[in-house]
Amino acid sequence: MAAVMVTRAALGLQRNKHSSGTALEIDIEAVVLCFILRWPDADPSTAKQHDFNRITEDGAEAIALAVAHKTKSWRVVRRMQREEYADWLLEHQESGARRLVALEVSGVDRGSIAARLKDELAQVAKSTDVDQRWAGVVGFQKPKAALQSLEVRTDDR
Amino acid sequence: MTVDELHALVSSAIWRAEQLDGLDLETSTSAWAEVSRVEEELAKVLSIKDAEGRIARRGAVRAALKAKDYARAQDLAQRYAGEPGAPRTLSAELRDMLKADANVLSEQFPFAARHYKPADVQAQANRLHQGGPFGLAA
Repeated sequence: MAAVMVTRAALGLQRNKHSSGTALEIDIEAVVLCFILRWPDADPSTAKQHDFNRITEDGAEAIALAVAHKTKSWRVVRRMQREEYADWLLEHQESGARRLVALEVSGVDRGSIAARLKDELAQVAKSTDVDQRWAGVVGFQKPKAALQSLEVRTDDR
Repeated sequence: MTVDELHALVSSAIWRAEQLDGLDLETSTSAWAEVSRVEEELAKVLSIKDAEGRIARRGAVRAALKAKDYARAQDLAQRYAGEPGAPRTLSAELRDMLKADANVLSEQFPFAARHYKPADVQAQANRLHQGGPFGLAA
C-alpha cells in the first residue's frame, strides 16, 4: 500500500512537470516553511494503469503523512474508514501522554488548495474519539502542502 | 499478532476495499468482509474504553454491512453494545448504522418494503444463516 501511494505521489508530481528534488512549500497553521521533496522516479508510461483521481488523492496522502511526520513527529496508527470522517489515525506524545490525531487529507491537481482545506476541516470536525482533528491538502501544480487543526479557523488567516 | 500488526493489516485491507469500491468491482464485498474480520480481531485486543477499541468496533460492524453480511453486522453490534463499560454513544452509533442500512435496503426494494420490514427480512436471513440449507445445520 505504501509503495503504491509513493508511486502515485511521484506520478502526480511528475505529470505537473516536477522532478525529484523540487521545493515543497509547507503551510502549517499559517507558518510557512520550505522543504526539498525527493522521491523515487516513477515510470510515466505506467500512469495509465492508475485512476487519475487516485493518483491525486493517494499521492496527497503520501505527501501529507510525510509532512506530518517530518514537522510534527506524528506516527501513523491506522487507516480509518470513510465514515469516521478522517483518512488516518495518527499518534504523538504530548507532555508524556499519548495523543490521537484524526487527519483528513485531499489532493488538488490544479488550482488553489485554500477552498479544499475548508471542506476537509468541515469533514474532520465530525470525527469523534480523538484528541485533535486536522485537515491536510496537497497541491501538485506548484507543490504545496497545508496542514491545519480544527482549532485554528480558516477565516482568521 | 500485535496491535501494530493488526493496525497495519486493517489499513491495507481498508485501502484495498476502497480501491475496489472505486472501480465498482463486485469483489469489494469480500474485501470489506476481510476488513470486518481484522477490525473484529482488533476489537478483541483493544478495550471498549479506548478510542481505538471503539473505532475498531464501529469498523467491524460497518464493514460487515458493506460486505452485505447483515447477520454478522447485527451479531457484532449486539455483542459490542452488551459489553461491560460500553458507552451509550457507541451503542447508539451501532444502532444507527444498522438502521441506516435498513433504510437503504427499503429504498432499494420499495415494493418488498411495502410488505415486509427490513428487520423481518434480516431476522429471516439470520435464521437461514444459522440453520444452513433446509435447516439441516439447526
